Amino acid sequence: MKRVVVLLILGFPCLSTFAQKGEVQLNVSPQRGMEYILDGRERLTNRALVLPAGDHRFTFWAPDRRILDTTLTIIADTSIAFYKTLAPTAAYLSFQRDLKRVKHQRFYYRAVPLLATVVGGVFTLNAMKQNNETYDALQAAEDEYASFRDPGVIATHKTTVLPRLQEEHDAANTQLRTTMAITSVAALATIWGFIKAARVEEPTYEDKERLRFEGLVWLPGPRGGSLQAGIMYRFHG
Amino acid sequence: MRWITAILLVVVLHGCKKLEVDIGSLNTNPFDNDHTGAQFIRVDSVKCFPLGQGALHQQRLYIGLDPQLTAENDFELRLIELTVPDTTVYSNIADGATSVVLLNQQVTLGTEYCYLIDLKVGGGYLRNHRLNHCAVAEL
Repeated sequence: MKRVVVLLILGFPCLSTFAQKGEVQLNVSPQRGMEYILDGRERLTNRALVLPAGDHRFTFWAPDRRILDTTLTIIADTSIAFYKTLAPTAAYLSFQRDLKRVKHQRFYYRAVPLLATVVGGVFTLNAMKQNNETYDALQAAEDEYASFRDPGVIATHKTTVLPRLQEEHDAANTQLRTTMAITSVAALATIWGFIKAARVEEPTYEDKERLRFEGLVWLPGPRGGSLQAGIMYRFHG
Repeated sequence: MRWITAILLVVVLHGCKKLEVDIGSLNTNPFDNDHTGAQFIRVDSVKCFPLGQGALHQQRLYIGLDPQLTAENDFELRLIELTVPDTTVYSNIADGATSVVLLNQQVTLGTEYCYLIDLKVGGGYLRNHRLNHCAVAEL
């Protein structure tokens, strides 16, 4: 009986150690680049952990996301799943908005005059075709004049046919010059728009949460781990 | 880039071509009433001939015809005698004829007769080819 009591007393710490471990599955979005610091010491990336039962401090971070500092309570012999989506930082949202605005700005600088040039070009080609047709018709009518042998036909030709064709040709020529002028302006605007778009300054973004997250933490490894320090510098192109 | 600009310029200039027909000064066609060149008909001579044994005489107007007129056109001549007055139309003129004789059947010797000779081609008279001629009836 005394031996049994001694064994129980000696074995209790071992039994209690086995019994007080639990598993946690970390499903934190975004998964890409997500890291966390466990209990303020170890910087990890693995998604499943077996930890001693009790409270553990997790500091989650992912690029462009806000740091989530939380405590998870591990229950012995239990597997728990932790689901969380890290919210983007206000600076990142602002950067995204600015980037979107810049993209839109560039798009409009390029697309609007380019579209006007293309449409103007189509109209110009059409007007050019009409101008050529009316030119040829008028030229043919002028040549035809010499071939007539009937004074009545000649009179009709001079008082009706030629003035009508001249009027049509004048109208087509005016339309052509107008469309060409508009298209030229649009083409110049397109060149200006592309230059302007290239000069639009892109917003810059610095992930300050990353700087906060970075620090001296213990990174476990096969040979015992190492001390990691992080520094970030954004190269502006 | 320079070549593209040059080609575009040529295309634009060619495309912009404009034709202005000066209808007011268009008069090169001899069948045009506004034509100012040589006439198709001319009075070559006027002669008088007695009609039978009496005192009646006939005046003949010898009209020369331009080959350009007779080559490929149907035409007719209208003789308006202003003294009596009287009008005669000559429509059956032989193809290729170089002259035609117009007649005033009854004239009195010593009297001057004036004529208007009109040329009609197709649907209209050529005003600019009208001849105005006067001649005294004499043997």
